Amino acid sequence: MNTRINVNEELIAYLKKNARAKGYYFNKNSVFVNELLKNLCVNLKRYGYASCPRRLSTSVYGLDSYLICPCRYMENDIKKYGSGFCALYVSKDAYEGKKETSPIPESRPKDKLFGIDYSNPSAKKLPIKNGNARYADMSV
Amino acid sequence: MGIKYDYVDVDLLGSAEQDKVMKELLLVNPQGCFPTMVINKTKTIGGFQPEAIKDALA
Repeated sequence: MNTRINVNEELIAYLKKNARAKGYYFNKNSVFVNELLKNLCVNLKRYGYASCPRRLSTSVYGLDSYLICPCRYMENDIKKYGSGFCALYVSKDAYEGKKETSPIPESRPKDKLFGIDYSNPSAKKLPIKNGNARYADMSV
Repeated sequence: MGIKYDYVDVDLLGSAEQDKVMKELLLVNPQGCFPTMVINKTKTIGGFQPEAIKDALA
C-alpha cells in the first residue's frame, strides 16, 4: 500500500489531541500558535524530534528529551502560571479569558538550560540522530 | 515601522560559534530563551511580546 503521510500534520494532530486529552488548550492567538507549530515542524525535521523552538536544542536526543513538545515543565507551569513557557498551551481559565497570562520564567533547572555543560563542548559534537521513541506511536 | 535590526539564527550556527553567542546571550538574558531581542543596546525582551517591544521602541 502506498500511503503518503504528512509528517507535519501528524505532529500537529498529535499535539492537539494530547492537549485536549490532558485538559489544556492551544493559545487563542492563532498567528502565534501557527508560528510555534511551524518551528516545531522545523525541529522535527532537523533533529528527528519536535523540541521546543523557544530553547536551544543540542541535537542529542538524550540531552533534549525534556524539551520535546509538550515539554516536561509544561504541566507544572500551567498549574502555576496558567500557561507553558512557550505559551503554546494555556489552562482552561486562560483559554476562556478568565485568567490573564503573561510571559513566565524558565522552569528548567539552570544547569540543564541547554542540555549540556558549556564547559564541555564535546557533548555537542555527537551526530544528529533521527527517529525517537516519543513519537513511535505515530504513523510516520 | 521602518526600524533597522540585525539578527542571528543561533540554532543554525556551528558548534564553536554557537557557544560564543550563547555566552553573550546569557549576559543580556540569563534565561537564554528565544527569541531574545535587544533594543537600542539597553532593553532586553525574551519571547514573543509585541506590546513590550512597541513600548520599548516608543
